[in-house]
Amino acid sequence: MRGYGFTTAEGRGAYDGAAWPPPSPSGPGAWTAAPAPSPLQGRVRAHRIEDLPFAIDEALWVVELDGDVRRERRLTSGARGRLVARIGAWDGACAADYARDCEVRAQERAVDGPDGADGELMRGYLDDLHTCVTGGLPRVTAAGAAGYIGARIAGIAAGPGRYDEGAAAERTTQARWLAARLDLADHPG
Amino acid sequence: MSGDGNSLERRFGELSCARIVELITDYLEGALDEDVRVRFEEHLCYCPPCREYLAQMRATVRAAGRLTESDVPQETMEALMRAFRDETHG
Repeated sequence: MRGYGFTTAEGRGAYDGAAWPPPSPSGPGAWTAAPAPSPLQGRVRAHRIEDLPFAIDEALWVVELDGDVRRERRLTSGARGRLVARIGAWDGACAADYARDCEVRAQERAVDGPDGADGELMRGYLDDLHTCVTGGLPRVTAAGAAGYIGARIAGIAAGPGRYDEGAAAERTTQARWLAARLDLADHPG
Repeated sequence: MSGDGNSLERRFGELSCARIVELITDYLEGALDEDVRVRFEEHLCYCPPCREYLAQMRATVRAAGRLTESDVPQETMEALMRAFRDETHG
């Protein structure tokens, strides 16, 4: 099964610490598994497009999983995995555009946003989001945070009892943005 | 992030940094249920200090797993035993 995966700049999985050998001109990188202790019991992860906003990191790859591949919440896991190719278009500039896009949508939602305590909370999140976008954070860190705060604002804007629905819709929009900008396919070749 | 940790966890399911510290061992052992694992990882996505803490904990667990009793210098062992006795006997 092929999907996508983020790693740190050093080629490690941020959650499980797995070291992913890079691909070479002759083919994919070597197979890897997660060293103990690991949250998925040694299994490594890849993502569908809709999972990507929840996992943003420095480098984005096409990942191949093998061995007892399972779909889990926000990830797909396998007994082992390898990097097939880097998505070079995901870089600091792209991450900054992603964060700005999250902020623009959040500002639009705030125009017709709630009054009272929720309005005040939303304005606080908008300030947080603006700080993310302009405050000198590393651009990929800012992108991960902007996506999170943008989803929070969307959830509040959706109104009482509709938080999860609003936040999920914003996450879907973020995933579609990544797919369009990076030319990602549901089933990468 | 705006808001206090307790109210954010009640309303949005958001885990505070303090909760991440409490849960980190269970996370590393794969002992969290899926809902908590998802919320734990969502926190890591926007919180670089907690990501760094996770990496340090993982490195510590690995290093400690390679140590045997004979690797600990006698002087260190005695200091640890003294501290343990002081702690357990008030």
